[in-house]
Amino acid sequence: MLTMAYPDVYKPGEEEFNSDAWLVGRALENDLAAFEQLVERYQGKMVGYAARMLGDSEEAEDVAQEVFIKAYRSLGNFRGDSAFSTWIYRIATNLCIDRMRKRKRSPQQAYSLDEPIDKDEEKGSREIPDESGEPNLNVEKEELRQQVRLVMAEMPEKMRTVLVLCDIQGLPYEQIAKILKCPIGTVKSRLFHARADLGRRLRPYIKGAQ
Amino acid sequence: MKYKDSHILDYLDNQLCEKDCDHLESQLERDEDTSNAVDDARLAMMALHDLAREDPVTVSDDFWPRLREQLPELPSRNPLSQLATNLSQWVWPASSKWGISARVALLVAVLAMASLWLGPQRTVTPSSAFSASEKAFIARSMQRHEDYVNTPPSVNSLPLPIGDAASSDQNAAAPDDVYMP
Repeated sequence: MLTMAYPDVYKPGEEEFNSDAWLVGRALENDLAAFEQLVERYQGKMVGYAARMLGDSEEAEDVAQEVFIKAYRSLGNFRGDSAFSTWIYRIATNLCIDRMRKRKRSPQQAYSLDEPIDKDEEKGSREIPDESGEPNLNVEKEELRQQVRLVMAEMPEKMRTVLVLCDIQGLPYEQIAKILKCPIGTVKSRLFHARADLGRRLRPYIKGAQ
Repeated sequence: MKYKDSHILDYLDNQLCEKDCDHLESQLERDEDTSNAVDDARLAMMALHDLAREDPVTVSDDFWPRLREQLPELPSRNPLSQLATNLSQWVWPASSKWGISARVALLVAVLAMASLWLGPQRTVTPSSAFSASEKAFIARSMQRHEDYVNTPPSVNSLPLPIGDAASSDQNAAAPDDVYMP
């Protein structure tokens, strides 16, 4: 068995070579393959995040592309004070909020209750629950999911952002606080109220499903 | 309000110890509004986790090729940003061992600078620094110095220091003139 002469000499491991910081460094040295690896690593998260924020998967891909283009342009200014994931989530958050504000300003973007949520499959109409009568006992899980999407689409952007980042993207509170640049207590408070509000508005459907 | 939102959130995340958990639950039994809000939050969490699990968002296969076409010129690192990064890495290295050393060194340096800057400093004002007797002594000394400068003694009247370079030359010229015990 071969023994190394200097076993304690520092050797960068494979993990370090594949770290975000290392790939960013490589991308800055004109290594496009390194940036491609970063894109592969985060494209699912970015598309998913934008899709939940905007409620539209096609638009979500456009936004995710925009996120990576913006990140690529600004890569030279990335100082590494925070993690690359935090930085890219921050870019995505800003772009999603911009899109949501543009929607609010343009009246033709308003949803019609008759318009299907999923345009490709022509299913899932936007229904308002009839809370006056007895609840629909045949509400299925898929319909409940659609209600979740609908209620989230009506939520204030700050509330929606923490819900998506925490409960769908699964990020820890500390990272969410860094992404949103606010204290962790604010994140927790916002999250509790957003969950309570969502749950209160879903209660008729969940009771119906039970 | 009896409890903070973050406290309730920890409760929902099962992060509270048993004692705090029991305490909070006993409080919630007496506060119907908050208790309902906690139940609603729990329902929302379940619904959102179900949405994330059962309805994953897929990415189209041509995501990267489309993105690559739109990518601008290759980025170049901003020199100021590069400098800031190098400086921060030097002051705050990623390695934990060196990180601790660097932090201690930085702390010591900052404390030293602060003590120099903020510490008590002796301010000397010439008019009040010397007593009358000291002033008289200084005046006498200065007068003696002026007298000495104005009337320099002749070189031959002074004993030459032994070992001095000038003295050795003079001693070489007239070795008999100087008495050496």
